[in-house]
Amino acid sequence: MAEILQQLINALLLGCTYTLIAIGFNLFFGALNVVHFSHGDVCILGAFMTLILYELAKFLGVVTFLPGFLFVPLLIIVAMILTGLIGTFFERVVIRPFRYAPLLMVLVATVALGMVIRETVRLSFPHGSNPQIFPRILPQASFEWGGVLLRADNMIIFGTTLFLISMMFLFIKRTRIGAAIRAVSQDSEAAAMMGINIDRTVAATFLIGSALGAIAGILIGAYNNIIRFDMGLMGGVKGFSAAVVGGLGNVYGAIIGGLILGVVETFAAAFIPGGTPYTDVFAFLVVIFFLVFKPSGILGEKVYEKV
Amino acid sequence: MGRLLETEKLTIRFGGLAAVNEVDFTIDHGEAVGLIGPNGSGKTTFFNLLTGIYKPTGGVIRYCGESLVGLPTFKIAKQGVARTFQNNRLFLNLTVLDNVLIGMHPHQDSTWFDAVFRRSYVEKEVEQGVEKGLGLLSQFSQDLAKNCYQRAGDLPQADRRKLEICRALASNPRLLLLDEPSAGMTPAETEELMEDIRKVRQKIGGIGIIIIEHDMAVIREVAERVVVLNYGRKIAEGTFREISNNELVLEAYLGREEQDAQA
Amino acid sequence: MLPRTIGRAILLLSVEAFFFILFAAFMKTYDTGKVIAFLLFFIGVGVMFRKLDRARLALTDLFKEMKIVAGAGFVLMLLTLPFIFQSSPYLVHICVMAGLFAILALGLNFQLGSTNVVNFATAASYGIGAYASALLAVHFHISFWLGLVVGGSLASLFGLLLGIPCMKTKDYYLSLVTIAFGLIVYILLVNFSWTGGPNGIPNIPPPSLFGHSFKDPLSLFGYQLPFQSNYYYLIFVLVGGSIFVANRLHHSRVGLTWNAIREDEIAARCHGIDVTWYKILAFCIDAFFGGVAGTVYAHYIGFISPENFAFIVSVVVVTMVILGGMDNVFGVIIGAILLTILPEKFRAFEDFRVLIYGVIVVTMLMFRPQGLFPQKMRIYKK
Repeated sequence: MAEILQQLINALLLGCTYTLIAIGFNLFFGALNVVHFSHGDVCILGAFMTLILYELAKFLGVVTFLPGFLFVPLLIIVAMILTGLIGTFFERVVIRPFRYAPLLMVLVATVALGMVIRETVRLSFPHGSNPQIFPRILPQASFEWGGVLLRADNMIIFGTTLFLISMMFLFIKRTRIGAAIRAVSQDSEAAAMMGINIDRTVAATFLIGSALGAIAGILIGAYNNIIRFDMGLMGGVKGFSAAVVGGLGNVYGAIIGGLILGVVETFAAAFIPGGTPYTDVFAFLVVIFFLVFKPSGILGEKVYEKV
Repeated sequence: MGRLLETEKLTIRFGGLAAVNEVDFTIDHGEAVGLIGPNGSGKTTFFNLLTGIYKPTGGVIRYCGESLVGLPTFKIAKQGVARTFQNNRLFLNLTVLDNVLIGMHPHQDSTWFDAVFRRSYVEKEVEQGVEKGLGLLSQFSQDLAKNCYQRAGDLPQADRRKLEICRALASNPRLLLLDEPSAGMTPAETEELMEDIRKVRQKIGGIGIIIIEHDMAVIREVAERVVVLNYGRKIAEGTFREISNNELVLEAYLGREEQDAQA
Repeated sequence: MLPRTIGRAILLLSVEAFFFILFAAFMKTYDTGKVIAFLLFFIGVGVMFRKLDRARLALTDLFKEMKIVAGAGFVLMLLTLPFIFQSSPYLVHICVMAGLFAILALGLNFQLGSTNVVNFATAASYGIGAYASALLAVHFHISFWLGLVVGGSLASLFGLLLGIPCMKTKDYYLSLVTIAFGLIVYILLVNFSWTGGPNGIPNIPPPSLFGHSFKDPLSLFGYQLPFQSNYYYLIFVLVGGSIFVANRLHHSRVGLTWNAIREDEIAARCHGIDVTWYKILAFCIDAFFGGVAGTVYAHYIGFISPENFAFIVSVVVVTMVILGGMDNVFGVIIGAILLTILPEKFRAFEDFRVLIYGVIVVTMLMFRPQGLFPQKMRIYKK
């Protein structure tokens, strides 16, 4: 029982990461009907950004006079903003030119963009092909509770994710920009006619999506203690998978999809003998199953083709 | 010989909305039926049901005595149901002639194996196709036949409509569904279109045509019988003259009088 | 009349020879500066060719008029390539690799170019072909030639499997399926013990033909050619076969049907096209090409590991098709050759190779989405 509970906690953590990435995919798909295949790389870029900022802060000596509980949130917020801006930049430069082009083009373009991001990261770090040590920015304490090991950093990760996701929902529900985002995702033409600035709304979407993605990247780094330039590929494919399982374009679906993938992976590793190396295979099989039997995902509405 | 096509209580619901609601419809061999109704009355959806793009939630479609319900679109097309689209779905990056050749797909049979290993067979097929295609095009417009290597996407609107009809006819259909063929045409072009439809009916005996139109002149000229849809229901049926005097139809098009609505 | 024809034939052949010699000289250049000079020259020729309408028309007329002479001359010149590169096996090796990628790109073109199905699993079918024939050769001593057929067929079977989800999915979803499949195959190759895990399979025997082993130097007309030449001629035949198949498919009902699906799936279905079947067909043929290329690669290099069949390989092949020109057989081959040779010529920038691939794709899609050689309209002779 404790074993299952322990694995459930692990699944929850993994699911959080996937959810954060998947929210980005859903936001972008809602706004532009596009799949930003390099979103995973943007997320990992968030982790690298944190690494750079951390080293910079250490170099400048900020660490010495700023206490950790202030320094770490500040670090993360700056990394989020920077990553958000980078995401917006990519939208402007690589995705917007294809707004009226066939789907295939933006798909291939973003896959290629992912390659560019990964390689740029690899080339700009000394020994970039090797994993980089991610700074231990979270407290390392842990305690046991009924046979279940709880790590403080994991708790913080979980809490942060919950907080951010609810903030995002509040933002989308309550603010003017949020309303614009919802309007554009319903019908961008009608929204444009109602005086909504599409370009600005799309930019806002990418800012939010990429910033949340940065958190996912930081979580991955904090959890594994390392980051590698090519983690974004798998992260992106998993995030996209989670979005599809939940229902592409549905922001709530991201949560369900992320959790399902998290559960499948952790349970496959824990309870299938010799299953550990094949966790990704199980995850993908689930995704393919969904794509074939319920392509609209769990929360997605059935789409009727316009003829 | 039975009916060419008939539907009984044909229904499709999108969520709570019945876009086509218990429609009974028949068409005989050689007949031309007009399908009219205000915007959103379910005319195109009706076509989508007949061609299998949507699966009906209820009712029957019988084509030459056999049910079409549940058949995939391509099989329905192979049985001789051809259509055009409301907003033109040509293969824009292919030539005019290639568009017509694709229309012949249902009754050609060369496979990948033939393509690679039996060149003479494929060559003969292509040759016959080109000949037939050019013949078809020149029946409709000498211009299309002459510019048969033009990109379909470069054609003006009226030519696109014509090409779409040619493409549909290339499959030797027994039932032709025309979805607003005159949309975007000038009066002169519309006149020509009506002439073309008459020619088609003369040439291909027994072809049934269902035509959706907003231009009543076309309906009056072409259709022997008119079916009127409103909110997915069939509200009237008859000759053009009968329809144009029908209370319900006038109401559907012009809206109910203010007092009546309140009463 | 006859002297004029001969004169024109000589003109045509000298044009071909001129470019061929340029190409050979380019291949033999190792100095980065000179390589750039060559490239600038080629680009210059290309631009001039576009600007000078009369020259272009005259040349295309010439080539159209004497298709057979042009083709024969081209083939002959390519056949002499190993003689020209006799002293530098490395150059022959590059040509072999260019040929392998040309086969992969031609295969992918059926999907990406003709049908608009973005398949990111080329590396998987390539790998399945390679592993299948390598395992058969190492464990059961099955000959390369049989392995070629088995490798291709097994890959084709994989293509079928991959094609099945496309009954229900399209666009992004279908691409996601192919990416997932590609990653699954990679993960399995790394983790299975019978495929050698991450270490792969060493010591794959070379093929032999009429008692001549492909790892021995080739003696032709009194010349000793490096052993890579064996593979060069093998690949030459295979690429020729692939072009033949690709052209025939393109100019048949099948190719036209694929194009219809690319242009408008719903309209295609309404004209009696079984979209699912034709997509699966494209998957199978693509995978067969991939499997064949994989088999040759495995026996040529003699050692394979999962790294040879990673996701990046798929993206590279996609890049080749897009750069060369979707649905243009000639363009796709040029794309494959360019993207194989150029990185070798810019060895100094080896580290930036993948980055440059990415940049090429994005800029091509933005500024010339139809590729270097755009798709051509089909013209039928009356």
